[in-house]
Amino acid sequence: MAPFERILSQVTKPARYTGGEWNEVRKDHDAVEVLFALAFPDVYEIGMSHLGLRLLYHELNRRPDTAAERVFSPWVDMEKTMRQEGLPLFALESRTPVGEFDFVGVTLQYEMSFTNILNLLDLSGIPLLAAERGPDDPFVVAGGPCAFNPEPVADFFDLVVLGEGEEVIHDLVQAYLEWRGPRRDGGRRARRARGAGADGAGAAKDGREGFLLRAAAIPGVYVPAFYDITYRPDGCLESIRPNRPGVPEVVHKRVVRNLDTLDYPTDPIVPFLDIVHDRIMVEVFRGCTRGCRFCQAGVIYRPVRERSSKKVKGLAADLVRKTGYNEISLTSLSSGDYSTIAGTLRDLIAEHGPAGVGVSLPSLRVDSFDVALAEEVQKVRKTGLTFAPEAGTQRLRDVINKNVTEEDLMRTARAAFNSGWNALKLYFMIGLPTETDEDVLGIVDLAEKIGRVYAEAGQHRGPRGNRRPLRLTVSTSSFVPKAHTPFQWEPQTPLEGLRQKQDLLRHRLPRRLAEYNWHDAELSFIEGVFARGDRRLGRALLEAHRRGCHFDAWSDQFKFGAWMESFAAAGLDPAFYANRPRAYDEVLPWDHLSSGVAREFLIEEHRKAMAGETTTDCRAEGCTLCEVCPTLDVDLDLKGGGDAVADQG
Amino acid sequence: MRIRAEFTKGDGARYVSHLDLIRTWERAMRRAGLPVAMSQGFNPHPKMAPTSSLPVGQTSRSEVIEVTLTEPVDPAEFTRRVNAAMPGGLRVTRAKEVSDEAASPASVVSGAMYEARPVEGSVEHAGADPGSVAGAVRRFLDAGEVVVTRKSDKGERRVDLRPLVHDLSFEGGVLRMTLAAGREGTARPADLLTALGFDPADWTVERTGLYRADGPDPTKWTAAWDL
Repeated sequence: MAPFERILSQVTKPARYTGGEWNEVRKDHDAVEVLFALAFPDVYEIGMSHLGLRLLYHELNRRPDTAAERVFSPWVDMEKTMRQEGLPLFALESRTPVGEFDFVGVTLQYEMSFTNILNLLDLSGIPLLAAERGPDDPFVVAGGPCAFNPEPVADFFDLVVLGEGEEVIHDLVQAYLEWRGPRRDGGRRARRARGAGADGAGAAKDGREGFLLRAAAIPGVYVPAFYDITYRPDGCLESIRPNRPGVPEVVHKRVVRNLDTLDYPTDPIVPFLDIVHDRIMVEVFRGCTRGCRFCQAGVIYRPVRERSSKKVKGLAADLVRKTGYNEISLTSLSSGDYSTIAGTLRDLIAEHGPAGVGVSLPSLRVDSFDVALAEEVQKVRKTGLTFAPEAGTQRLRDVINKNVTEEDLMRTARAAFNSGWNALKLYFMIGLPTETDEDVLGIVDLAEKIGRVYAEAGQHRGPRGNRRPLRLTVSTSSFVPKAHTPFQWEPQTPLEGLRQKQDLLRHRLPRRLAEYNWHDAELSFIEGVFARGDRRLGRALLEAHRRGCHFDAWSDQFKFGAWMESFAAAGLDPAFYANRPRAYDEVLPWDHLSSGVAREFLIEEHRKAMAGETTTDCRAEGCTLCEVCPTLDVDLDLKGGGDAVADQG
Repeated sequence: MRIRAEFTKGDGARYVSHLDLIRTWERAMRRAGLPVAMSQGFNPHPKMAPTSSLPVGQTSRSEVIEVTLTEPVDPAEFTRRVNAAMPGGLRVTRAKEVSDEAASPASVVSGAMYEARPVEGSVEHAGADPGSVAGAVRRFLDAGEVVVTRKSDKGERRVDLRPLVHDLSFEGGVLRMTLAAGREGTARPADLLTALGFDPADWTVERTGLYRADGPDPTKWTAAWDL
């Protein structure tokens, strides 16, 4: 094999593959009991931007007995070279082949990364199917949002973890240590013997299944092999049943009760490369109860639990010192809803502004957006303004429970223009349930009204007195019904319908007014198949992998034709999954996996959607009976008392 | 206060690009608690001046950077604090205060010295038996002109490499090159390796110094550190 340097000299951005960044954790493998690879199935710059990876890296490396290392998908040029040279996929910290780890944790962030997961296992020399793994292979664990319907990838994972990982990951490592027993001699040899009981570890007289049984007893851990799925003649599911004694009928997700007592990494890795989110991330809360009916995150991360302002400021100060970043981002699903956002921002800017460190909010909602706040943020760092009304008419916004009015939008836009902004991005979805052409054209109407507001606002001079025209961008994505949402029973608009809606906007949205961007409808269709897919789709994934599908979320890599061939080869009809309405009493592939939110709540929300009725936010106006708190024994936790949300309600 | 620092870029930072290197310096300065002066203007940026960019994949034994601080810091203290805040692969070897009148290395440096070695294990691949390398070196030095094609985003350009190569020798398995690097023109080690008939991927290149030529005599020059 050619030396590593020679391989890297042939690829773009070789720093993706070398590690060695500030705050990287390197441990002596002979001094630890467990090797845990944390894999993100996309390139370095995307994976390193993900907070969850940072949190788990920290939690695992906090343990003296465990070394956690990072793995990313090699870009296509690197993959080609690795395959030519026979170099197996390795972890960045120690360059140890992934196949030599005890665990390989893979995050399921989006459906269109599924083929990259297969590729990652393939490049690691790990058998793709969990059932084919032997005593020398790692346990492959999934987590992340798509773990709430992992069925299309269920055959490739030994374990799936539902919900927040910081606590359950320790349970998992502990169970592993108890199953395998302590290592008797130096690291690698004993690890290679895991399960076989050949020389070392007292472990594993009961084999891989022995560990899986122990793991299945941990709340939040789902072992796909321990459930049998049966199907009806019409192709729908008939039943999902545990096939081992003691395995739970329903697996509930894990939640952390109090974010203030949770350890938070203040020494995260600072990459050399310019990654997507290259800044300090302080998570201010988890969950969102705005209740948008299309939104999966709004269900699976409930309830809202805040980190106190004091804690947030303390973490930020520590992070500035230990990372050297010049930007602090307050992250969450909707940071404008943080109950103490105004005071926290003011304090952070006062403390760090003089040293040239800015503060940013990644997600602002029209209704929680306060121009005064945005001005504070802009003082230090210039960012564009982005609003997501999601639908063009009030009727449709009521259907999806996006509680934003046209007046909200115009008022906010006017205030922003008066403060000197001239760039605005508007995000919408097309293909929403009940949508008509009138709703789609409502997007054009909104854009035109914003154009008029800009003309009225009048202050369009740049710093040098130059005239500044409005820079308006309208982007549409195509609605994909997701598991665990009130729209999980809804059909996705077929491809042709999505294209017609895009064409309508292309022709009717004046080019002088706004730039129009739209997402690839074919990609949304494939995403729609997997979002509510079942276990049989694993065959289609294998076919797609064999046909070279990978990096599907990258438009230059996406091969729609290969995907359609793959479904045909697997004997599956993609429209059955994407475009078919479901009845409330149909057995859904994720019925044994619970976010804690009651099915009855989702049904009621779906009925209200069809009637155009809205639902309030429990932070402001009392419990909406979603049942997540009593089911998971957890509470809504607003550290500021919830006034901020109530004020805007 | 203007500080000039010499640093090494070792194996651990070999693949860090020029822009990423500057960002790494900025962050290290903040971690070190060393206040860098900001430029004035619409888009303020820290006053830091690296001397000459180093291509991705190359290491260096002697890079020079200048940093303007808002308050005085003892150069030894500067070195200690920066090194405690730098990722592996980057090490400050020495630092000194320079007067405002001193020449800025970034604007006057005109040349750089490099050492290239065959990547381990691919000696045959590189055609790096001493005889063939020495022959290629001799042929290059004897040539009146050596025109190479440079590819960039803007297209292809033909350049005579010969006048940009001030010195070239092969001894003890090491190819030593002294190349123009500055306003009067720049020769990249990869260009020269290609012109010698080698695949640059077969060689590891290390920069050993940056200098300013003191007139037409190639033996008279001043190291960037001493400017």
